[in-house]
Formats: sequence, structure tokens, C-alpha cells
Amino acid sequence: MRWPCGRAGCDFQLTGTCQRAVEFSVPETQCGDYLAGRPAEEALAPPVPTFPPWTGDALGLDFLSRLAVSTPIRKVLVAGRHDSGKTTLLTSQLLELERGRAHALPGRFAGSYTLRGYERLTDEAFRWRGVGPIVPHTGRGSERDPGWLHLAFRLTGDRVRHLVLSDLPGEAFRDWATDGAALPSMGITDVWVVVDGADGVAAARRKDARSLMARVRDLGDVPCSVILTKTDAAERESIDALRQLAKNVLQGSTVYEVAAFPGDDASVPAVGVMAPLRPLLEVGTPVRVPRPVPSSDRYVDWFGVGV
Amino acid sequence: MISILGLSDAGKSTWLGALLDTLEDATGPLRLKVSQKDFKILDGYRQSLLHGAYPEHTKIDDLLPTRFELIWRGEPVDLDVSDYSGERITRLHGRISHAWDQGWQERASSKRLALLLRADKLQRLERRGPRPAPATHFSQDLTPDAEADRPRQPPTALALVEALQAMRAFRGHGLGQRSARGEERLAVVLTAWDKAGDSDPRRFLEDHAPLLAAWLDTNLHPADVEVFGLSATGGDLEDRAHGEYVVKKGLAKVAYCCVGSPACPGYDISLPLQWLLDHP
Repeated sequence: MRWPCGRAGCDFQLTGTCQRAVEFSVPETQCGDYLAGRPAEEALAPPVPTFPPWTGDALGLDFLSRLAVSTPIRKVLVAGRHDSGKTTLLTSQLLELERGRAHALPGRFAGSYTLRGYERLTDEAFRWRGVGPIVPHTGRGSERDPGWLHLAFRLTGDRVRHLVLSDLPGEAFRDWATDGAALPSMGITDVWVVVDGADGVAAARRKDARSLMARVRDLGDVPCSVILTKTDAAERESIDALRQLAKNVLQGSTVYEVAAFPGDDASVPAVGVMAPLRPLLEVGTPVRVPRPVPSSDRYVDWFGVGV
Repeated sequence: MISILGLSDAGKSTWLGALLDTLEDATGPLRLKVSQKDFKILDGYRQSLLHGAYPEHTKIDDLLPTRFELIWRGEPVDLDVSDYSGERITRLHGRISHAWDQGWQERASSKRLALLLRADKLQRLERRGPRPAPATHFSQDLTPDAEADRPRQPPTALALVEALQAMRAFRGHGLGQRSARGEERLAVVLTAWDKAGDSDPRRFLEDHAPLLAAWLDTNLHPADVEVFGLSATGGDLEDRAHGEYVVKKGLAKVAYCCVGSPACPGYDISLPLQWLLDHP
């Protein structure tokens, strides 16, 4: 770590170029101007991590890096256009867990670092009266910053699996699909392509879905699922068209039909929303480990070690 | 040391007041250490109960002692009630990074925990009413702004899981990593059990708080979790007839505690503490 040089106008800290380079081959240990500006030892020490390291709300990439120091995580990119039902799908999954309707999963709920974030979303879902978006739109720069939701499951054989699922705005995927814009999603291990089940009828919507699927296909051999949402309100013809589209563009992907909040009552049990979690929790599924950033060993203590 | 944890209105004061009544004349392995002036506060709760009324709600800044000393098989043991006000859990759930303090650190060091949930008031993730108006009472550590921003009673399972996983993480346990048998023990105490309409406390927890039940199963050794159904007053003191019955008969004749599957009712409401203190 470099500190500001005491010599006026010297930007050694930023550029690594010492103004008195002709005098000193190793300015860090030889230049009196630079050494005179050395801060106290405490200021040079890496910051002591504070506890708890999570806030309860959606996680940022920095937190994910720390988590990944101690435990592999499955990082699921939940991709879909605006209003396709991405956040609603994630919300309904926690609701199903909270209501004990997760018996078909090969793992059992073991905790979450984003319970408060989930609760905020479910609060919105329960205010829904069948009109407009069920949960608030994940906007750019809105008060609900894009982030990642977290769930941990205990599997058979004392294994623990951490899942993080993106809650990113649909606009990001539109740009990504059409303009090749970058996503803040390095190290993803799985992709869920979320498509409104009614999008199979109109050509323009179908084209959007195709563009997104094609972009996902370009990611390579990342396991991919196509999740058709709002199927309680979609025509069978539309759903079948989207199934065919997925078969053509994303060969090998699994297609799920879900209805997170069937009808106009948010308390009605969801249909099929837990099924996409199953393959993520199956023992033996290879887990890709995102490259961690250097961090403190304290995080290993706090997060434990998973598989 | 045993810690007691529970949201507001979980029945902590009622249980402790009734416990005092039970333990004062106890001849078994668990007894009170005599002549502790701190018991005066608990005695206030007991007197309320003996007069057929529930103790008053404990405010977050009530000057309660943090520990009571009991005698277990001749040895002293501390009962930590430092988290007495359930509002601390609500605040932890709402703003965990701000609310985690020295008190939580001390609480996290306790490996024997009694977790109180009121069986008839489990808050689920469901449609809720508007945020209540700010209370007129202000505590020393809450600014007026913070008071206005105080969250509503959170969903029971979410708030308790948040607190429990933070306490375990502080002790170095990751999510889903069960501790060795006997390392941590947790007694779930379902209070107001007379209103539960069920005979099996464990099944009740699975049915009514499945997220919490799942978390307990995946994070603690199964032998180190027990679920109790407890009625410290044997019925609702709001029911005048029952209140008069308690005044006439005394708490010892009406209180009861259920444990196990099938449920095995007994009358010793200190059973959760005894189970926590007993080594596996």
C-alpha cells in the first residue's frame, strides 16, 4: 500500500513514478520525502471487519466475494426483461419456504443473509390486488438497489449449499441482449431465463425472448433453465411456442411453468416455483467457485464452509 | 448460563413470574438462590399473576437486572434475561448492522437458550395492517427519529432466525453447520399453550413456524433441541372467571408444561430450564 508523498507535486502514490527517481532506485525505502509522509501503523493495517458482515438486505458483489472466500456459492443469474416476473418468482420462493411447502427439495432451509430484503419484497407482494406489478420494479438508482438474494440449504451428508440469486433490473438484460452491454455478474454458475408465459404470441415479444436466450447460449456451458411465469394467465398456445423456442435456442435447458401468485390473491399457494431450485441442490452437481478477493480469515469463521 | 430470547409479548414476564412461584418452594434439583434482592422485580410479576392479571409489558429501557442466580443440583447457574425486551430482536431484524451491540455479543456466548414463542400470536408472512403510531414512551437509546422508524412486529420465524444465525455466526458457526451434540442446547417454549389447540408441541412448531423448525433442524444437533408447550397461567387471565380461579387456587394448581411426542403433560413449568441444564 502506498501513501501520499510528502513532496509537493509528486504523485508517486498514484502513478508509481518518483520525482526523485534519479536519486533513488527504490523510493519506498530510500526517498526521505516519501518516508516522511508515512502514516501511523494503525492506518496501514487492513480494516478490521465488522460484525455482522451482512445487513439483512440484498447483497452486493463485495459481500459475495467475502462469502466465496470460505464457501463455494452457486451464483444464479436470473435474467428476463422488465416485468417478466423475476423478483416475484424469488419472493414466492421464500413464501413457500416460510409456509413449509418445500418438502420436494433435496435440501432443507438452513438460513439466509437477506431475510430482511425478502421480507420487504413479500410485504409488497401482499399489498398486491391483482393489478399492476406484484413487487416494485427493480430500477436503476431506485431505493431498491439491484442486488443478490441469498439462501442456504443443508443437504444430505452434512453438506451445505449457498445460493445467491440476482435481483437485477430488466433494463440491464435488454441492454445485455441487444447491445452486448456488460452485466455485473462475473462468476455466475447458473442462469434462469425468466419469460412471461404470455410472450409466445406476439412476434415482438417472442423476438425479445429469442434474443435473451441467444445471449445466454453465448455464455457457454453454464447450466440454464427457462422459467415461464404467469402461466395461470397465459394461453396454452403461447406457452407451447415458448417451449419450442427454448428447445431451438437453448438445447438441453429445462423448461419450468410457474405461477407465483395464481389468480388475484397473493395468499393462494404458488405453482411450480420451487422446482427450479431442485437441480441447484442436488448432491453431485458440480459447483463452480467464483474467484474470491483477498479478505480476512474472520469471514471464514463467520460463514463456515459449504460445498 | 441460560439466556432467554423472545419477541415482544412472547410471555417472558409471565413465565418468569410463575417460575418464581414454582421455584421458591421447590425441593427438586432446581431452586432459587435465596435472598436475592433482584427477585423483587420478578415478585412484582408474580403478584400480578396471583391477583389474576398479566404483568405489564416490559419496555426496552426498563432497568432490569441482567442475571438471576439459581441453584442446579447444588451448583450455581445464571439465568440471563438481558434481552428481556423483545424489541431488541425487532430492532436486530430491522437494522442488524446497527443493533448488534455488546449485549448481543454477551448473549451470543450463552450456549443454553430458551426461545419463547407465543403459540397464539405467531406472526406469519402475510398481509398486515398499517404501521402503528409511534409510542409515547421514549427510551434513552432511541432517538425520536428512530422511534418513528421503529419497524412493526416482524414475522416471528424470520426475526428469530435472523437473531439465532447472527449469534451462531459470532461463535464461529456457519449456516447449516450443526454443532456437536451437547455443544449448544435450545429449548423452544411455546407459551399460551392452552390456546394452541394442539397436543404435540413439536408438531405445532413444524406446522406453524416451518421456517424456524427447518432452521433449528439444520443448524443444531437434533438431540439438542426440544419443544415445550407451556401455560404459566393455565388459561387466559383476560377471562374473568379463570382469573378468579387462579386467585383462588394459586398458580401451582393451574400452570402446566407439555413436552415430547406424544405430549406428556406435567405441572413443573421449570422443565425447559431443567432440560437445558441437564447434560445429554
